Amino acid sequence: MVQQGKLVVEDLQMSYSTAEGPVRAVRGVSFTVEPGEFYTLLGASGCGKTTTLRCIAGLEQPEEGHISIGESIVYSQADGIMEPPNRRDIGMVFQSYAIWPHLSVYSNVSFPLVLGRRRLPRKQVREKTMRALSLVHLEDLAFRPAPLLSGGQQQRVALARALVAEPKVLLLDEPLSNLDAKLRGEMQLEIKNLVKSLGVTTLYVTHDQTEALTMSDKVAVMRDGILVEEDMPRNIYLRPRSAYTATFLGETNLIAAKVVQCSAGNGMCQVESGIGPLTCPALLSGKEQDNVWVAYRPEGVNITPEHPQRENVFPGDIKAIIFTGDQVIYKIEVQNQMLQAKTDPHRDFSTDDRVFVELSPEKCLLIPREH
Amino acid sequence: MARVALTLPRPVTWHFTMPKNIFPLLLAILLLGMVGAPLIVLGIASLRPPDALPFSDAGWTFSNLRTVFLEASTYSLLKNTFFYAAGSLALALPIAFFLAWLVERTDLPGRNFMSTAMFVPMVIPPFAVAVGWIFLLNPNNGLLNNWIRYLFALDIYRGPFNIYSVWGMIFVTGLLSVPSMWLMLIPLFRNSDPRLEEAAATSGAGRLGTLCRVTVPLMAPGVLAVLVYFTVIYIEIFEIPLALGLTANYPVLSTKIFLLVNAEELGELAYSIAAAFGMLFLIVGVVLMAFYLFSVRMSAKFAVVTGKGYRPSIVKLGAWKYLALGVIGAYFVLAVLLPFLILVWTSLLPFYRAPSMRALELITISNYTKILQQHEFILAMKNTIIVAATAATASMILASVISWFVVRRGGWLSRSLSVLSFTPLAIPTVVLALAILLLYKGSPIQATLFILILAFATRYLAFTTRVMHAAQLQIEKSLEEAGLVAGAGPVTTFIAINLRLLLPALVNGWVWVVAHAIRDFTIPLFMAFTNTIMLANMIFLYVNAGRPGIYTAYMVVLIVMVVVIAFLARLRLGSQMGGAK
Repeated sequence: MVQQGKLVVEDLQMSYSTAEGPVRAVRGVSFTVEPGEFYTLLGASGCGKTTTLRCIAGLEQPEEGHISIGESIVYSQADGIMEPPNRRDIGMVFQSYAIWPHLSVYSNVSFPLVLGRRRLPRKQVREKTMRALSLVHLEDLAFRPAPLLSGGQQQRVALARALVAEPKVLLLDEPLSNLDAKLRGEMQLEIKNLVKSLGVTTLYVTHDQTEALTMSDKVAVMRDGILVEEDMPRNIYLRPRSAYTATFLGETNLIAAKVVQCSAGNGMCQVESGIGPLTCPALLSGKEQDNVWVAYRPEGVNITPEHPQRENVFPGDIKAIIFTGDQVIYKIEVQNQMLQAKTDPHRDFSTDDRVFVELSPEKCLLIPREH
Repeated sequence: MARVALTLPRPVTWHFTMPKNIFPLLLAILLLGMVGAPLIVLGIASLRPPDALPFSDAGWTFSNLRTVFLEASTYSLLKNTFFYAAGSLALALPIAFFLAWLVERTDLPGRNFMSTAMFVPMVIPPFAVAVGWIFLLNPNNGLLNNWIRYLFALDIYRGPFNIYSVWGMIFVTGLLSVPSMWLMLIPLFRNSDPRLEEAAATSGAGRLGTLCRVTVPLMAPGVLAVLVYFTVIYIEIFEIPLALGLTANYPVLSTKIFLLVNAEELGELAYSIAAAFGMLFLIVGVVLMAFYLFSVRMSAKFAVVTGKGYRPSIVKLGAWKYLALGVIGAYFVLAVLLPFLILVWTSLLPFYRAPSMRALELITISNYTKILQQHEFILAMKNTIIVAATAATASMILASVISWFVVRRGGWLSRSLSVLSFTPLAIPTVVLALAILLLYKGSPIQATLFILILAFATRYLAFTTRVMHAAQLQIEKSLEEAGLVAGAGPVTTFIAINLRLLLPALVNGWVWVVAHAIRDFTIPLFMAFTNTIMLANMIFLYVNAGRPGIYTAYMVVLIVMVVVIAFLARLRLGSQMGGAK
């Protein structure tokens, strides 16, 4: 039903001028979204993810680079091509939904088919519009005036409108940030299931890492206009390749260390750190590197009252306890460094307890450290 | 296989892409033509010898400029003009201030209806009110003068009051400018924090002391800005000096220029001198406008931003409210009721008679039936409606497009567009009318409705741009972007989404321009030709011919038209309508 388009972005560069001088928002970003893939650009505010999306939509003029959607080149600085947004085969959901208040739900959704690029006869318009509305479960509200909708409903109208013309690529700019937490959780799954069932290539922009990990086939972390790394959610979470990614996605304990010796046989290395010696798997990149971070997820930390007689165990004192409902977060001081651990809420330690902190070797991760 | 789309030249470093900027550039040229070209012609005309037109090759001379700038009579003219302005300010400000204070800071009953009541004196044509007061207070047989002479058994033939004097001019002008001034003073009361006044009260200052030491000084910069704004208005006002000042032998800048252009015996000769006076007038206008902008910036420093739940302290009037209501009643009687009633009265009589039981028997609507059958009335009505509606449409469309560029694109080009659209404010209407007249003099266009439409569109551009700018700011950019992304081209998006959402502001602005164009006397009197006359011209004609029954009937028709149209606009717009300029 939906066309499948491949989105290719190459060496995209874009800056805009402010009162303090030009700001380079996007600095050479390249990535590919395969047909039918759900790809997320994840990053903090100001990292350039929304600007990248807007360049793909044609709402911003980049300075350099190349963008193609499906078979068409929509932007190429070298060839002097810049397709305006109305001639790109895209659908877009805005952060503010941008539902037109003077139109009904039906008129909002049918707009691309009535005034857009490919205008269809009335019967087909009705057919496709009602189908799009049923995909988002809004058929019953078709003739309600748009301003009388709740936030969640407006968001679904925006989604239906973006999909009604069956675009090659669907762009979503932080569409869930205005919703409350519960609704956000529901909509995450709904959107993912919807676009997957349609098989439409999707580019999603968010600063919320949970969203990124829940919904995407691939996550790309952006920072200061650069794409830091991209990978599948599980890999990018468990095996980040940079310290920034490790701390951006969830919490990570980062312990500065130096590699002492690596054994080629079992692929493990000995490192010396501020808390003591550790055994960890070798660096992912396989490079020789002296200075490293040991990255360890708090939820993987094992806290025991007695020494478990295994590797990578260190004594420490509990300094803070934070109960968040489904977890308890412990901040433990080990050798003048604060480590974080997350356990299930049934574990019950007290402040100033002396405990043993175990960082299992297989859950350790070595990341290069630049100094 | 790549599908090749729009090709662009490689962008230059500051992103000046030709197709994107060509439209605003054309707009800027249009605005320069609308605003700048007439002024340039004015300058040229002032340098021509007295009997030459601006585009003839009669050579150049400074004699006009010498006459205007170096002769003593000019300075007495300026002195007259400023004295008149000062007097009007002195009359209007206390009334407007008092009324604003009553509405904002007391428990005056009915204060919420004040803005509805205020709009009638705001839209009523000043010329008509002035003529009404001529009937009431002319020294010979003014109705009120008669009554006063009778009541006080005064043994004089004339007076005691004479509306044909600078005092008469000040009286009418001051009264009629109260609503606009009041409208501009209200925000000053709203923005001044009563807690500062309360602080003064708790430190022991009495009510008067608080008023003098805290309230007034805090509002002073804002009031100063209002004063300068109205000085600009009074300097350029034309209708009341026309109605009263000529007979009073009290010329001001605006009427002086009018006389020069219309003096039959001088023919063409006076245009270049009029142009020279126009240059003087323009300089005065620009300087004052600059001063106004400066004082606005100053008053912004004193603005207090109040938070939610801000409730000013209310003064309980008690028995004083009767006095306050009396003052308000007296104002409306003097500003609107008395002049309007005398006009209606006169229009219902074949020739003017003081109201009496016997005169009542003579009441007839023959004046109205007479004018309705005149073909000039129909022509004037037709022209007035066409000119007003077309000027309003053109002005609103231009303002929408300009505001779109200013709000959406930004940049130096858009800023220049914004500045250009505001310059007509600094140009006195008389000067604008004269300049456009000179620009098209001798060409076939001068006898068409086009120059009238052009003059009105230029005149109101500053207001319409301001309205559309504020409205455009309310429309989120993403609403238009969503249209583009949905596949609608830029023009389709602009019309189907942007203009559609701007419709309320468009309609309100349109009606405002129509109401003001219909009631204006300046542009028609300067620029209309035999077949392009408007209602104002008909009125002026019959005033000069001394046919009170006819011209009062015209005036009543005009007043009713304007009030109805303005009222329709008010129903939608509420009290956001700006002051009369």
